[in-house]
Amino acid sequence: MTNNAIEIQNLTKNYDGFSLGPLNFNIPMGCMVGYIGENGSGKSTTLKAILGLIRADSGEVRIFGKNIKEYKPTLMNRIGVVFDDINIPGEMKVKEVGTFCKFAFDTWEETTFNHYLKRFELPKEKKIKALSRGMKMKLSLSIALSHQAELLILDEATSGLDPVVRDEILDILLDFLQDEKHTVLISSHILSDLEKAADYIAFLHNGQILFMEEKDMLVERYALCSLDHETIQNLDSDAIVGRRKHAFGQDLLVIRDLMPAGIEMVKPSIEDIMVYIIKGEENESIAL
Amino acid sequence: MKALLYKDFVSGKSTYLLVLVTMVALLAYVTYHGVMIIIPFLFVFMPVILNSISFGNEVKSNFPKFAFITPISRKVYVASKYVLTTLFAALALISGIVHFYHEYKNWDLALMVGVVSFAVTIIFSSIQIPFILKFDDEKVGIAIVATNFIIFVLSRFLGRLVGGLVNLVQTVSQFHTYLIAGGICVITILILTLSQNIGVVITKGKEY
Repeated sequence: MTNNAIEIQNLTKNYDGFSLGPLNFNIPMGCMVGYIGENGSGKSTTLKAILGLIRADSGEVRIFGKNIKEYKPTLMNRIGVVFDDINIPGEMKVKEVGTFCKFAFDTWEETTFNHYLKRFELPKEKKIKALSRGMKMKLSLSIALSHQAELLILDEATSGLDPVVRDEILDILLDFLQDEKHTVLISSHILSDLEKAADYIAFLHNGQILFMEEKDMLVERYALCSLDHETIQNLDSDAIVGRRKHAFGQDLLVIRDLMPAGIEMVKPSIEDIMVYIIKGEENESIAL
Repeated sequence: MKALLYKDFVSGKSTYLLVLVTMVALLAYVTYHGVMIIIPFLFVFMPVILNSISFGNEVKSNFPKFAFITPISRKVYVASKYVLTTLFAALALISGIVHFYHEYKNWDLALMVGVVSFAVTIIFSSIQIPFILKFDDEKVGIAIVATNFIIFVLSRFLGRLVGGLVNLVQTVSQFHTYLIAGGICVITILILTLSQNIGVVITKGKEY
C-alpha cells in the first residue's frame, strides 16, 4: 500500500517547440500540493497526462498505486476534477447534470450534490449556458465533491473568480482535506491562494520540475534583501537565486543559509520566489 | 451508456422535438398521398441527421473532456453513438416489411426490402461516425458535411440501381430468401462492429 496519491515516473510529452519532462515526483496522500509555473510551462499538460486525457510519450502515472492506463474508467470514481471550463453542453440544466452524474458515477451521492447546490446557491432549473463563470466553477466543484472522491485535481479552477468566491472554494478544499486520506493537486496562477492553503509547492519551469518542497520550508530557505552593488560583490555567488537591478543597488532573492550574518532579510512570498527564479539573472528593472 | 444517452436527449431535446414534428408531418404527407414506400427510407436518413446534431452539441462544449473524467470509458462513449442508428435501423426494417407486405402481399420481397433498409441505415452511420470522431473542433463541421455528402451521393447511386436490385432480389430470393437476408444482416453487423472498433481506436488516439 503506497502513501502517495499520485506517483509520476519519467513522464514525457513532446510537442512541436515544447517538451514536458522527464518528470519524476510523488504527491503524498493527505496534503494539498500547489502546482505552479508560468503560462506554457506544462502544468495543464501534466494534469491531463495524469488523468489520461493525453497520451504521454513515455513514463508511468500511478494513482493510488494503480496504473492510470489500466484502471482509468473505474479509478475516476475516486478522482474529482475541476478544469477551467465545465465542458458540459449549455442546453443542459443544473439538475440534469446531477442526473447525468448519477448514471455515470458508481459512487454518486445525490444528497451531497444537493447540499452543495444549496450551499453555492446554484438554481437547479438554470441552464449551463446561463451560468456565470463563478457558478460554473462551483457546479464543477460540486460534482467533484459528490462522488466520494479521495483525490481532487484542479486546473486553474480559481482563475477569473472574485476573491470572495476563491476564498469560499479554498475553505471547501481545506474542509475536504480534514480527512487524512484526501489529497488535492491544484494548479493556479493565483499564488496568494496557494500560499494560504497548500502544504507543498511544485514548481514547473520550461517543462521541468525545478523543485517540489514543503511550502513552509520554501519560504524559510529563501529570503529577500535589498543591497548596494558593493556589498553584492562580496557575496557568495551561489547564494543569489535571482536579482532585480535598480538605480541604488539590487533586490535579491537569496538562499538564507548562504548569506553572511548581519544582512537584513525578509521572508519572500511564493510569487517572489517564482518570479525571481524565472527571471533569474536577466531580471532588470531600472528605477528612473 | 445510460448517462450518455440521457445527455444526448436532454442537450438536444428541442432539436429532436423539431425533427420529430417534421418526421410526423412527412409521414402524414406520404400516407395521404399513398407513397408509403418513402417511410423506410425516412428512417435510413434520420440517424445521419441526428448524429450530426449530437456531435455538433458535443463539439461546442468540448463534452468528451468532461465525459472522460467520469468513469465512462472511450469504448462505451463510442458505442453510445450507434444506439440511435440501431434503433432507426430496426424501425426501417419493421416499416419496410410492413409496407411491402401490405402493398405487394409478397413476404420474400417484404423481408428483403426490410433487411436492405436495415443494412443501409447502419452502413450510412457506420461511414459517418468514424469520420466525425476523427476530426477535431475546426474540422468536424467539414467532416459532417463531407460524410453526409458522400452518403447522399451513395444513396443516389443506389437509387438508380434499385429497380434492377428489386428484380434481382425477386429472382434470387425465390429460393434463398432467408439465407440472403441472414447474409446481409451478418455483413451489416460486421460493418457495424468494424466501424465501432475504428471509432474506439480513433477516440483512444485523441487528446482532450
